[in-house]
Amino acid sequence: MPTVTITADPDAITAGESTTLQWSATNANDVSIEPGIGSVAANGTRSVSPESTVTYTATATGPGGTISDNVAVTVNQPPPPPPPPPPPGPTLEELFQTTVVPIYFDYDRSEIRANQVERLQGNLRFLQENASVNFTVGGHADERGTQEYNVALADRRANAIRQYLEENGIAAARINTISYGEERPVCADSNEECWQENRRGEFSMR
Amino acid sequence: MNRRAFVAAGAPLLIGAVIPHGAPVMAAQADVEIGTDTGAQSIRLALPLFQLGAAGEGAPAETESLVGVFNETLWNDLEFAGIFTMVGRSFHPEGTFGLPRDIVPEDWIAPALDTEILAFGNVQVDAEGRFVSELRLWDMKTDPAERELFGLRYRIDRSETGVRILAHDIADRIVSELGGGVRGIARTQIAFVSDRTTRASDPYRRKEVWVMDYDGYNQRQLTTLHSTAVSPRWSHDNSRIAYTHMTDFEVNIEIISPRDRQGFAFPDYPGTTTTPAWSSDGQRMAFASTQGEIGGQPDMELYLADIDGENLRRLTRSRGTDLSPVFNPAGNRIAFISTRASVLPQLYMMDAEGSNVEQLTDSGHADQPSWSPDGRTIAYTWQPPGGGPSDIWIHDLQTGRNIQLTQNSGYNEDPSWSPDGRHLVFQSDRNGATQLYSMLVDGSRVRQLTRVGNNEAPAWSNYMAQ
Repeated sequence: MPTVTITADPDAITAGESTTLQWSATNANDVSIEPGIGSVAANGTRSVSPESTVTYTATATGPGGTISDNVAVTVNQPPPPPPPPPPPGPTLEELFQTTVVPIYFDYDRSEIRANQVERLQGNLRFLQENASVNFTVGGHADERGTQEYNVALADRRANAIRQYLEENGIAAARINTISYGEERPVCADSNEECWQENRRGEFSMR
Repeated sequence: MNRRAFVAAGAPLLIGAVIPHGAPVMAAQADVEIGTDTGAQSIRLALPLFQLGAAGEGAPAETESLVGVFNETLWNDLEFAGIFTMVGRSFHPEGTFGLPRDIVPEDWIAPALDTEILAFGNVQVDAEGRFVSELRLWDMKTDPAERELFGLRYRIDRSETGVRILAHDIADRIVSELGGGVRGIARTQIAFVSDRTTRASDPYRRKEVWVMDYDGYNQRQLTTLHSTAVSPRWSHDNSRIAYTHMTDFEVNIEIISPRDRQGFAFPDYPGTTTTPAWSSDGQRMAFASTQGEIGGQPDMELYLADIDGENLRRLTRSRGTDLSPVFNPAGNRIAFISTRASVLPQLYMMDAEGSNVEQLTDSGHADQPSWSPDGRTIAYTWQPPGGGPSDIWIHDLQTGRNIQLTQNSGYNEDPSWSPDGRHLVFQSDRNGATQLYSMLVDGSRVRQLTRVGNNEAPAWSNYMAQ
């Protein structure tokens, strides 16, 4: 009856390293190791560098029959290379400009509209997370209504935003307000789409 | 009625002399009723063209066109005064009418003309190259011996400025003579804001304060803010103009002299400060400001302070916008607008100390009150509740009636009374860009005064000192 044993030393490697298989057979006419090695002498060693975890099987065949032994070689993947240095991040001002959005108002109104609360909360989060940022809220009106009244209306809009931010924990000292009346439209046409774009509170860092 | 004696010439900028012609006349012209709330009253006035006299021989060609400017300006002044029906020149007799001997009274009182008053004269060039103009005002419905109401001779620079002043001064003297106590307004000015100096590189339309003659001529820039001016207001002696200055960082009241552009200090209060209003005695300023609070929040309220900012007093305490104060002529009442009781602002009135508040309008959007010089009415801008075009209205304080003056002509805003209480200037986009227009208080005789850029926020001066 044949016998066979196979061991690996070490039995765990990192990809790219090698390990040594050692085997020994008795009463065998033929000894083979799989995968990847084939027939070998009854006793021997072989250095292997598997790329991933593998189980080597040594099979001995002799007059009394066939028998096998196994050894598992664990292959650990190497740690990833350190990432390349990140590109320079956006400045606080750039973050402000991309994160903090205008708040829009209804015609002749200065209350925070329900569908603007989410936008304002987004602004609020940024301002809470960046406590060093002092900022101005500029109130704007569309071209309708008188030039004089729109100074007051735009002022109320800026203050409605300021009040919301203060009630949600933003320090009053960080907030400045200014009315631009109807004097600085972002859209010049006389239609509702354009007017809506102009009825706004705009944030800027200072 | 009391008629002024033979007019004493010698207005500022004019070298005038009474024509040595007959005795001073105090004719008994039939009393003339002038309604202060309508332009309906009419005296039939004929004004033949003033002719350039022979003494102007060899004068440059432009002299003829200056006489044309004079004739056009005088005609426009008298027509716009609102107390005359101008006898059309196509009905006039043929000929030139520079001297008394040129006038055949029967030709002028014929039924087709029915002239009540004839104003005629001539223009000559003197040895120094200046204009000498003679004017006579004749009452054609009275006894020939008492026909001449006055005669005047002027000497004035041969320039466009000169002939405009000449025409305005003559027009004012004719109105004073015939207006039953009404003073002429042809020498008054209008302040306004214009965006015409905006450059392509400006980030937004800049608006500067300008002034012009009451008929739209002689427009000149007062401020160089490179930002935005709103709400110019004349002091009662016309020596200063207060306005709201809007910059990138603040909204404050500033004061400038229209004569030499000198600035005067007014405090920079915290928050937004706007819509200045001079008190009638010129000593105090009412204005709107967010420096105070209601319920811990800034709120736009009305204040009163000396014009140097001392003795600051708060006049209103109501949540919502209080804005655009204006004193009555007596100085003891203030009209303003407020959102205290409504989403849209309404017209209110109170004592100058802030008590006895009365609400005057109750619907739509009432704005920009301007108190008439006789104290009886308040002109304002009104927009219907659903928005849409705004119009000029007046509120009669005695009857509570609201009377519409403009209609179907775009957005009409920001009325300001002439000092005679018979005219209003306002802004309108009826022809596209926003321009300034004047009219009689019955809405008639609308004249466009500006044409370059957009022009807004007109403020009529008071009478110029004589």
